[in-house]
Amino acid sequence: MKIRITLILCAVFLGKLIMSQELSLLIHPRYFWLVYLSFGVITILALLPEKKHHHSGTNLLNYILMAAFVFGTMISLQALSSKAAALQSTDQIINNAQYSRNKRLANFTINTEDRSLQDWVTMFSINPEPDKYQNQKIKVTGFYFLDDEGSPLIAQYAVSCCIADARIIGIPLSETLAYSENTWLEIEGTIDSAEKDGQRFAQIKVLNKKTISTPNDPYITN
Amino acid sequence: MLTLSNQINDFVIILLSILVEGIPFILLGSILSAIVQKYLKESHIINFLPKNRLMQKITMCLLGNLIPVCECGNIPMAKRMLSKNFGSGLTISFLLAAPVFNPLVIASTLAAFPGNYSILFYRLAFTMLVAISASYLMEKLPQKEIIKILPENNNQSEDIAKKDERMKQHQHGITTLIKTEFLQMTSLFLVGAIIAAMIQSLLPKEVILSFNNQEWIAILAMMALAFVISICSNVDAFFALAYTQIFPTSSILAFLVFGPMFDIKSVPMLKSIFTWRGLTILILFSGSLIFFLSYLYFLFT
Repeated sequence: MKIRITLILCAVFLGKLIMSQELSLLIHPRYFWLVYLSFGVITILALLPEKKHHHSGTNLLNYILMAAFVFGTMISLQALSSKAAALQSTDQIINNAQYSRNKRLANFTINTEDRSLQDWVTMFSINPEPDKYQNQKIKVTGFYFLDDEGSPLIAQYAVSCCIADARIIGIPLSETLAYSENTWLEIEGTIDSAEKDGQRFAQIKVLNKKTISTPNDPYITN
Repeated sequence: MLTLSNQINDFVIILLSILVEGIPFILLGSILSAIVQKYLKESHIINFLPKNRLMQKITMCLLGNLIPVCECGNIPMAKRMLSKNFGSGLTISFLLAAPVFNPLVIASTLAAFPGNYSILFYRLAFTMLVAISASYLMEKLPQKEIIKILPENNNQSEDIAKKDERMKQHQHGITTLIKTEFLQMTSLFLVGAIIAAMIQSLLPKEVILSFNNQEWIAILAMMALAFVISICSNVDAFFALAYTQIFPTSSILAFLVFGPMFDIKSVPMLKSIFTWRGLTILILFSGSLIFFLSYLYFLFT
């Protein structure tokens, strides 16, 4: 009976993640089908008739598992916050871009405002010389983030499998803004160049900013 | 519905993501292992494997290509192998090598390091070397002291509890096998995932970045990271990519070889196969060998 209950709780937990679209907060979309399939198989296993016999002993681990499924079903999940990326410097964040290059990036875009944060970060990682982008219009969304020295960036997490491997990528901003970290923003501006410790990099000269609600798919997945 | 503060939410998100990512593979591993339990006879094994002991181990290493379960799924398989009298040698060859020797991981390693056949080659070569060496070592040790699962037909010195379990298994259908295996493995996996998520949310991965001043420190640091970071072997190449700027290739190799073999999330599950002594010996031996091979790579390339 305990087995059946645990399986039902597991199925309910997975079902809730799928229905509420919180699955996109946890794993990369290319693995969604695995979860759908598991949900199906576990539901079937939970509903199959069981031969009547006794299994000895209460198992603490089993109760912990049940509790985890119940808890996971009851909470309302939010996207990974900026706190998980604390202690990183802008340099490291810029370096992270190699990990999440947009392979389908079209170099030739008439309207540079159409480029996403990931597109821009990909281009900077291939060609970091800021003069190449000077004065190009940029319009991107992301969350407000301060690096380990308090320099402002607009950033997103890039995920390739599950959240455990999330990396932060972002573009530096020319000025600090009056928002708390982790606030989702849409930033409009132009590309400017900046220098720090002898390194030149591109940053956004902010012209327009507004808050937006956290998107349903807040991570970059490629 | 409860909403959580940012920090707790981060911990929960990391925990649940590891859990949800692992569940499909544990399920698959449990299904495959139940099939092995029900339908695989020793004669099948004897006919299938080559006669030469070394070739047998190599075959087991390559078996991952046929049974592409990630690190989570191969543990139920390994349990069944032990109970089917494969012996610890062959089982360990499979256990350590299968997470890397499969098409998904080979493809993702190449995708993360395009054109870099050297990294792929060394990843596979080191993995096989370590898997085979570890299996030779472990099968020489007194088996009762290192593994908990004894073969089904071993009638000597089984205690009553094991006998009961054996009898119960004979009565159970395949679905009951799958259910019990899946839930047992998942509950152990959860323990590992909780510890991994706690470490990752309290200690950002970036802390590791300061440990790269000397080659041996870098190798150890990347191995420690591999142990703590609980990501699947089919994407760890992408994860490692981000460190290639700062850490030497030898340490990246160590990460790519050690990570799929052992990490926090798999330890509780491995503990259901091995005794503490056996598991410690296995991890220490494999870890030392990987360190040694990575350092050799540094010295000679």
